[in-house]
Amino acid sequence: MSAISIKGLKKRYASHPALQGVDLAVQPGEIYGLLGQNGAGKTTTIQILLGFQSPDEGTVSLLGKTPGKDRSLTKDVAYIPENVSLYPYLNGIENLQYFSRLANIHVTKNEAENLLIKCGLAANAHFRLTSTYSKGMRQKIGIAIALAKSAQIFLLDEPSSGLDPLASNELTQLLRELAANGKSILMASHDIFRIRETADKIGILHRGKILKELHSADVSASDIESIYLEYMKM
Amino acid sequence: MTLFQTLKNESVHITKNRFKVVALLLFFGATLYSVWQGYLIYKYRAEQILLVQKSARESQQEVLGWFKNGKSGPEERPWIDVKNPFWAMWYGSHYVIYENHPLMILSPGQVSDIGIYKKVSVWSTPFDQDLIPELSNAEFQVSGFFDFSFVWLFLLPLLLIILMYNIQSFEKDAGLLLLVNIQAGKTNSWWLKRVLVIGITLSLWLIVVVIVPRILIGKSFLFNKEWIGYLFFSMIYLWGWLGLYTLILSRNSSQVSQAIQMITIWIFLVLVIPASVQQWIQMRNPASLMTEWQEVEEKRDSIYATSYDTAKVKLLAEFKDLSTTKFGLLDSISDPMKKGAAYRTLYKMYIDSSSEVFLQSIERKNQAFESFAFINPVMWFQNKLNHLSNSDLSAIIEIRRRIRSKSNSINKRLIFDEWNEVVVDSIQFKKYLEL
Amino acid sequence: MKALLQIFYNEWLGLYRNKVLIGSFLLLAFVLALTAWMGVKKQDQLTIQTHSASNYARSEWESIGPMNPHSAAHEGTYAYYSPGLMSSLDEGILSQVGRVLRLEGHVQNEMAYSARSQEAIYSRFGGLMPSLLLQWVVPLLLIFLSFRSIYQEKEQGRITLLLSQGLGIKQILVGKALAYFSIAIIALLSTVLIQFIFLEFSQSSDIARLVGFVISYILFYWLIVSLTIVLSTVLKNATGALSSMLAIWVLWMVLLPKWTASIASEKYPLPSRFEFKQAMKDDRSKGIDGHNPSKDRINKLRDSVLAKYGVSSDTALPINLDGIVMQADEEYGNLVWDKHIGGVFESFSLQKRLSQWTSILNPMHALKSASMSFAGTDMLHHIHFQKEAEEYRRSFIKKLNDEHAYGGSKTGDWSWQSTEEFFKNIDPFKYSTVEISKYKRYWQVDLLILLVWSASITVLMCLISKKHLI
Repeated sequence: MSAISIKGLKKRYASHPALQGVDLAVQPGEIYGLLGQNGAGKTTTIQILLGFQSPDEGTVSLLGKTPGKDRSLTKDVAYIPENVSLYPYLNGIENLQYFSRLANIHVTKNEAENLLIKCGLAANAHFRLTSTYSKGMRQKIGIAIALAKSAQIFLLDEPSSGLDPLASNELTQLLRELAANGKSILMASHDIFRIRETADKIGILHRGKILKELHSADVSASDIESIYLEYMKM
Repeated sequence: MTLFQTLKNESVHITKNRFKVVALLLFFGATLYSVWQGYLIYKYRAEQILLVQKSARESQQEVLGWFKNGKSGPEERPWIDVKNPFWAMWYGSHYVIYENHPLMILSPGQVSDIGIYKKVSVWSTPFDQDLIPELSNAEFQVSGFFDFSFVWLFLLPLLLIILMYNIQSFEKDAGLLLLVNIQAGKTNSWWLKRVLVIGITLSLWLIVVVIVPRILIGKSFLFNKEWIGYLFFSMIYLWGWLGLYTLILSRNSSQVSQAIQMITIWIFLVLVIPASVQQWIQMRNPASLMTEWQEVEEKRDSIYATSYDTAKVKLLAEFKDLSTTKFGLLDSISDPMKKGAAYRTLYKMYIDSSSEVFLQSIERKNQAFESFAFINPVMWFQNKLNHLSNSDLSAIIEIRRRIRSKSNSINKRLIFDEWNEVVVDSIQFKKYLEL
Repeated sequence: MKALLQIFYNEWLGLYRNKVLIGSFLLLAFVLALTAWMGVKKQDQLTIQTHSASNYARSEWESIGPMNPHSAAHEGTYAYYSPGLMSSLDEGILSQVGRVLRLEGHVQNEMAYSARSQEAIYSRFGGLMPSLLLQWVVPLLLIFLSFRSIYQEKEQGRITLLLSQGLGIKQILVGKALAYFSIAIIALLSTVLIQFIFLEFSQSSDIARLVGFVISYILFYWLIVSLTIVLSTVLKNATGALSSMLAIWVLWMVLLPKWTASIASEKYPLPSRFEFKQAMKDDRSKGIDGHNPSKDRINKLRDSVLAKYGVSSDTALPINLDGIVMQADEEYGNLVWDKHIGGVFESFSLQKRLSQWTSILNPMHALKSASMSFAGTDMLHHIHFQKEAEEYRRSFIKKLNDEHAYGGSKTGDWSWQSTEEFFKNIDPFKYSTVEISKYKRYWQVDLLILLVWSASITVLMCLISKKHLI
């Protein structure tokens, strides 16, 4: 059974069709990259997967459950937004502990430190207020929050946007490590290079439809770019 | 670019913001409504004054009728004889009227804290209980009238917050400031022009509004000193707030931060400081329950108990010419009415000096308030505008002084005429009416 | 519940770590404490001043000496209004109205010597009383705090992270609302507590008033916090939410009360002073129904008294007819006063009732009305004092007239004097604030309106869906 399964997903905003029949599946231990330009429907797809919005048509399931209807899903699904915004008056550890407690998970200080180190956040930053953090550092806290949940599914919306090359690379490594541990990851992005580096499978989303699916092992980044640009002209 | 073009360009920030346009229109509406409310107060007062004057004329005509028909007074009161100076004066219907001032339409101020008129007799004092205001629901009066000065002094700064809080801060929040800097060269002059647009618009509106009362009452008071003063102080007030808010804008913080800073200043200047000053002054000088005044009135018995000789000496010291009157020439008086007139006059002299002490104490208390003007500018402007429209505390004190003065004139005339045994006729009565 | 408490705690932590906010709170705490202290001092001062004035008036009365009872009626005495302890929280109309009432024969005076007639306008919104801060400043503070809390979550995108952690919208909104609401409650209770400790509230009636006072503010603060949160959630941008809340605040605090007053005054107009005096004068001399002139009334009375004593002239009477006539005139005057001032009081009540119903649009008005009512400083309490004082005046004058009539003098003997002892034996006027239950049909409306508003906004808050947040 696929960890993430989307079939014939359609969604309209007033007169504008955001999704026009999206089909995709993500297996356990797989990273799926949803590649598309702004307004292609990436964020809408993720929000439907999170249960923040309901689909007009089609079915969506995460671990066989329907998001938005089955509340037990929240503990299995982690979300990392494009811009992880934290409480500036809390330090890294406190933010991690706070968000975890909201999910009914108690994280000790030691566990929090270990999680942050695992996510690549240097120990000297753990007790600094997050108002002093860079975007990459906040991203790592976001991932640590997701890890603390022991979630099976990770949904990432433009995770590498605005990150410097080193931080992007670290993110890729981290996600690959998660996938190696059996986590299913759906990552929406318009960063062709990063998606090629991170994802196992890439779906090109254009005007609310997946036009093509590629296995990143089979193509180079420049091939993906050519294919992508070709489809964008359609 | 001419100033007009610049202003036209910058006005787009108001005209394209629906919320600001609505706020501005509401403010304009509120000012006109407030002037209308002020006009209703003015009109009501004018009507009451006419009623009282008419009533006074009617009763004076009635007395003149008695003289004409050889009657001494109302039939049901046979003891009254209007040929006697005391009764003639009693029926003279003397009134002190708190006259309307055209600017009261804009600032009715404290007119509701005192009666519009008072019938004055020889016994009247500035602190009589019948000097009470018109009947009104005090719950509605807690924060005063919804008059123009209220709108201008208290709501204008709130309007300015709505119009100004996002000047420069919006551009800062939206990351537009650099672009503006590159386009305009100097950001300071750019946002200052936007402030100027607001200032000029509201200044023009002020001039229009201040002219409205003239149209409403059809009187020409346009270029008199009070009108110009009213306009001047209202204008200074507007530009004062603009200056204050401009200082906040110059700190270039976010929209929310600017709004909070502006509203905090408003709260302090409009609410907290005036309220603290009031509390402080009232604690130091609580509103009098006038027991001291009762003490003054209680003195009557002791004055009436003094010997006639002592009383006469005191009386002649004040009114030297009394010594030449018919009864002034006598060493003693047996007529209780004439004797009573002497004591009454002495008592009046005492009341007169005491009431002045009271009036001065009220003035002193008010001076304590004026010493707070520097930290309490909003209320200083409020009282200044009320002063120009003759509706402040000094106007109330003035009314009290006029009552005192009129009652004194009546008394003085009475003692001379009573001691000269003047027989009042219609000519004499008319002279009494001129007092 | 745990998550709700977490949000509550986190909001407090956020406030605690914000130096500017802490500074503002400390400033507010200082001003509130100062205000509470000033309120207590002023209340003490008011009590001392009223006692001393009452004692003075009484000592003057007791030292009146032997005097003709009717002259004593003209001498009269004074009643001074001393509002209850609760007036230290909300002075209501106290500055507007006088606290001195002269009680004398023939005439019913009105309260005189208001503070406003002796002072310039020091403040347009009253003195620095707890009510000023609790009604004006605390709601504004709540608006600024609660508006920022939601808008920041939305603007900075944390809301999706919070929701993805399994939180419900209600938990987020209610948790935050409770955090800010608790600040208002601390401000309210600490202010009330200072008054409670220093003013020695001991009577159950005062405590009942205090409880009512606190409940009204609790309902209003919850309303303000939840409304701000609803608006900041529903409206697209932060400045819109802030501006809307400020506009609502100005509308509720400043504009609607003034319009309400205009409408109520137009709907239930009061007579002008001139009309009022004229009507009283006419009714007194021509008779209430226009067919009973005073002259006829006196003649009829004289005839009946002469018949009762079986004599044919005033001088043959064993009693003093003047005293009886005076009392009859007094009683007739009372009827006239009841008719006219009763009409005015009725108009006040109707105006209040109408303005209360406008609270359906303006809950701030309901709060102000309830606050004044519980503090015992509204128009109804003021009228109650006037009525009590008038009752006293009637029995006071009746005693003097009865003494005049039956004390031993004969008709026309105006030089006859009563003993000082007689005057001393007339009880002084005593007044204690009315039980709050007397006006429950008024404050119940205020509380009901506040309750309906609070409940409605809470329901509205619970109806907010994810689409408003994301």
